[in-house]
Amino acid sequence: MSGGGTARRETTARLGIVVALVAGYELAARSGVLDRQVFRPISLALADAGGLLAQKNFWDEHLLTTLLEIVAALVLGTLAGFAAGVGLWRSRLVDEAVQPWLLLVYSVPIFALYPIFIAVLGGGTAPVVAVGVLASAPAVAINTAIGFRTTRPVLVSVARAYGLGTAGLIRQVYLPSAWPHVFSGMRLASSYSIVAVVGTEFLLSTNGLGHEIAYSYNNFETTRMYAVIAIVLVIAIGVVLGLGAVEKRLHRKDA
Amino acid sequence: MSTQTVGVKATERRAGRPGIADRRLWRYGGRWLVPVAILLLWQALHMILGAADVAAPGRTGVVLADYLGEWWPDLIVTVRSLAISFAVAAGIGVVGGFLLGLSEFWYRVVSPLLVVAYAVPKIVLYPVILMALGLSEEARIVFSLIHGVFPIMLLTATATTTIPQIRLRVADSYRLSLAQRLRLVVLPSIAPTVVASLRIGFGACFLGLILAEMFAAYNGLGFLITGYAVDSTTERLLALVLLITLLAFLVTYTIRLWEEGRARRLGLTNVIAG
Repeated sequence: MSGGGTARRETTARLGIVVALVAGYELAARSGVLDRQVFRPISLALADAGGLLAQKNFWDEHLLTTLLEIVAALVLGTLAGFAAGVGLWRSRLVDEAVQPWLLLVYSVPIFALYPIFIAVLGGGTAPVVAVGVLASAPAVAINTAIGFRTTRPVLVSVARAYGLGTAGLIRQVYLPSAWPHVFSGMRLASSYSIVAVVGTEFLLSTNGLGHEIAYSYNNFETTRMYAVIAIVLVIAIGVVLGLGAVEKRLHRKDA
Repeated sequence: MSTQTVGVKATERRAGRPGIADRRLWRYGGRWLVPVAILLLWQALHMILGAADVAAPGRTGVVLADYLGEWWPDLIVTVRSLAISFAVAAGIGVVGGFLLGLSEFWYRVVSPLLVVAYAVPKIVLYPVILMALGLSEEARIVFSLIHGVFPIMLLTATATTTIPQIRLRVADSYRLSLAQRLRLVVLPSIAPTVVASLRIGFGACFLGLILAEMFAAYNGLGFLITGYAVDSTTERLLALVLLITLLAFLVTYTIRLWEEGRARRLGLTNVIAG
């Protein structure tokens, strides 16, 4: 483990890199080293983003739609993934049958399935959520199975000695013990569902933040496009950092 | 992506499991259950929703065979773009990740940034890349490679920092030269994770490329998809999705077989999830 001093130096160095990248881009975009027609300074994009966030109809038509789709995909994906993960752990047949494919799911460009989901589920939010569920469930399933499998056998023996049944074992022993792993799966799943939802909106949807970026691009509204890009990136980075911090704490307590 | 490697001794894992014959049957027969189940589900959806919404699996296969000639130029374009973007992403990712992993300090500084870069939806940047590079194959390749480079770099760096100290000390005591150290100790130690990172990076590159082709392109398989999305039937669409899926599986499964073969030789059931 690194001491407090090293950790502080690491944070400082990391902050330095981020500041250098952001400031470098800002300067290059403002001074015209980067093409002004193409690249917009981050400060201006953030200011425009603030302006968009002050408009009520932007929330109703785009921001809330996207947030709702992301949360729906994450919740459904987590439930499905958790159930599948427990199945992987309980049944050797399911494990042998599904495990090799689970690792391959992320090699398939799932966005290609979106037109099919539209054909089956109709327009609106349902097909977008479906792509999000497909993207998030496998991560939860893989990590749930890992968590259940690495539960210490002694805990299970003790619980058995106290006469706990399978349901009680799962609730009182496996779940608390596997929870950090399940959470790791959910953190991954949250990123995947953001990517899937925004990407799907971007391609063929008619509302949401992703669609708004594509629409602004197609109509040469570069200012608006950068503002929405900034909003999406701030949300995505916020979720990664927030859940990452929680995850670190969970695993530390676990150790 | 989880960088967790769960190494469970195969013997432990099999304790209390069925006999060898059953195990073989499950191992080699069991893994075909999923494709069979998907085909059955597909057929069921076709019968419930009708041919217009979901073309039958058999029909889709026939359409794929019929159209393969017509789609060939687009297939070549996609494979070419993918090969270039994956090669660049793998080169930058493996070399960069290895160099980063040599310093514990810089690994700790930079790896959280790579995690963020990997997790952020890069699709939002595609319009910027298009504006900078124009509606070109170069734009698609650049967009595709920024999907793959971060997971490859991150996992390679992790593998490099976690080479067991004892192996490096053995190398010291044998007074190995730098070249020998790399060839005999370092490369074999990081190879499994690097290969897994390439598998994950390949999927990411392919995803980025298909996204790029679907959004704005004038050729390639993704471009064809958006064209057929407005068809009155789904048979050409499904045939294309099938083709893309087979392409992805072909490459990923080959890499996976290497990983499984190695794990079996070492008596491990090694899962690097991602």
